[in-house]
Amino acid sequence: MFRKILVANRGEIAVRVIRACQELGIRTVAVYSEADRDAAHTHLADEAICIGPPPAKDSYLNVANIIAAAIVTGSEAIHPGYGFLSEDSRFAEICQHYRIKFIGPKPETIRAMGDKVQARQLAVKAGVPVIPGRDHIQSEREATAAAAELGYPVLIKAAAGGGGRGIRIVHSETELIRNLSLARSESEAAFGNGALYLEKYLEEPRHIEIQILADEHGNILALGERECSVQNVRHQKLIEEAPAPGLTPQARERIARSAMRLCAAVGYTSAGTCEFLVSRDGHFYFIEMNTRIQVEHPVTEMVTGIDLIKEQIRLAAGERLSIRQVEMRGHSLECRLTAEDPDRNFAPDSGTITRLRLPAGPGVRVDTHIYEGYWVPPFYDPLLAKIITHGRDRNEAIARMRRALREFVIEGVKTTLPLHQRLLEHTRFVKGDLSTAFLPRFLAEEYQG
Amino acid sequence: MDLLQELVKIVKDSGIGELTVRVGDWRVTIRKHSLVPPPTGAGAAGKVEERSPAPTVAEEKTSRTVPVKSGWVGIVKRSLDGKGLVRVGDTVRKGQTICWVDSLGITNEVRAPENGRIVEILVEDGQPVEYGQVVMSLEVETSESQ
Repeated sequence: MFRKILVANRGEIAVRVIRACQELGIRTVAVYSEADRDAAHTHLADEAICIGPPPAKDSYLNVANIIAAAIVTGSEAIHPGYGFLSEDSRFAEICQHYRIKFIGPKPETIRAMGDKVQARQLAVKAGVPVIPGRDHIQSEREATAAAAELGYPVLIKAAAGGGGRGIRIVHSETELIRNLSLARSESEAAFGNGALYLEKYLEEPRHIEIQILADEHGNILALGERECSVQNVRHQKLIEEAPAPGLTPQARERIARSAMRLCAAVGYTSAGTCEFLVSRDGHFYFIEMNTRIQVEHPVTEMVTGIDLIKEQIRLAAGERLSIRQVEMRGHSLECRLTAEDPDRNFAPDSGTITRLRLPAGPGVRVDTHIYEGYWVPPFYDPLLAKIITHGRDRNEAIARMRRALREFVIEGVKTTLPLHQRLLEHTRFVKGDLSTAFLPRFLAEEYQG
Repeated sequence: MDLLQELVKIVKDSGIGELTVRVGDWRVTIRKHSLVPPPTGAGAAGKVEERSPAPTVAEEKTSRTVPVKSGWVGIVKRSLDGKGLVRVGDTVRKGQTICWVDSLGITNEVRAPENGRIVEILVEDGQPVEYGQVVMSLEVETSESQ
């Protein structure tokens, strides 16, 4: 086992990793930017090293200073948390070069799964369903034939595109023909390439993901799913839960097996998550893999009783997966409280927290780095706290979340707390009738209706 | 400035020859200039000094302390191949390399931000430093005649 780990992150996840290390008897080194001198992770760790000025590119993304910090402190491993350098294959390679264990998968796995096209190809090869699509669409005839085969509605995408640019939804052949030349010229202008990609459009799908743990000896374990459909239009998740409401045991099993098959095919090691879209008719499609620990990992911890961060560290140390079977118990919800203003299209806010009272009591866990008097810097992710509840069933987990949100007092910055309180009362949410359309529709009703 | 005038007055009116006031990074030294040059060096050692009774000129000499910080995380090198070692009291010029920080095999130069005199060295050779850590303090003088 490692004797000392450097935590290359900030905020609640740095605190979470430091806590796991402390429980494992591992010394910790925090790295911090000049804006985080008084941050919780800086104080909780055994040692702390300033790595740069406030902007993330000069500090939490400053590879040279982070590696140098690991060397001067004699750290044997680096935990990258999520975000920042967690999915940077170059960083994982540099760690390897300096004989520092990167707590995550191998650099080549990060690279392969980080490339969406390659990840899709690997999934197809592993027999994992992906959203049906046709590439290299040049002519109108090719497009109409492909769309008929896929079934309307379809998405027209620029083959060279990314980040949602140039995507159009068409519901009929007439619409397809009308939009085709426009999409082609747009793609030409934006990417210098007019080639188009047609993809089946899933209407109101659910976002369901599978938590994976894999050791370096070929053992892979799926720890059930998480329902993460409550997302805004920027794909920011607000509420996650485990298990996914209404998912049949057969469907759960099939999705989990697919995820394990893909991980086996790519020789995955460490903790990771395979994300799927599940259509209304129950079909599921792989969309991407996150080769790191995720923000919403606590809901899985609550229902499985497994500390994912500690497991991830053990696996990185070369230990064998000791868990053979996972027993699910009860239901867990997580609300992500962020310093954002839902009234202003989730504009981030910064400032000093003038008053803070955290909820507690049975079945309530709060993962956070904030405290009264803490200054929320404007430079980083606006996540303030994760409120996690656990109950015997979904109703109890919801009741506990409503209570926890009522108990939560935070003043000084705009937060998503009132929005969460309203979401937890919404009939569709309570019924578990969820899809990625839920939150955008809820917001449209609230703010335009 | 009011404070400075006040301090000059205190020095003028008192029997003291020199007064140094330090607030944070700022340091002000007010010295009386006498016609008799002050005793210096070994010759003055052990002698009981007699203060000149009346100063003829009063000059404010202000100086401030400028911290010199490391821009890297790494290991300090006070000299490179036996050269470039600076000591307390040394006068350095703006841009002069005053120590090095070795980071991942790259030797980064820490340079004096201004002309001045080294008044404090806060790191040892071979010591690890973090970003922004003060490695030396420089006294930078500015003088104004009254």
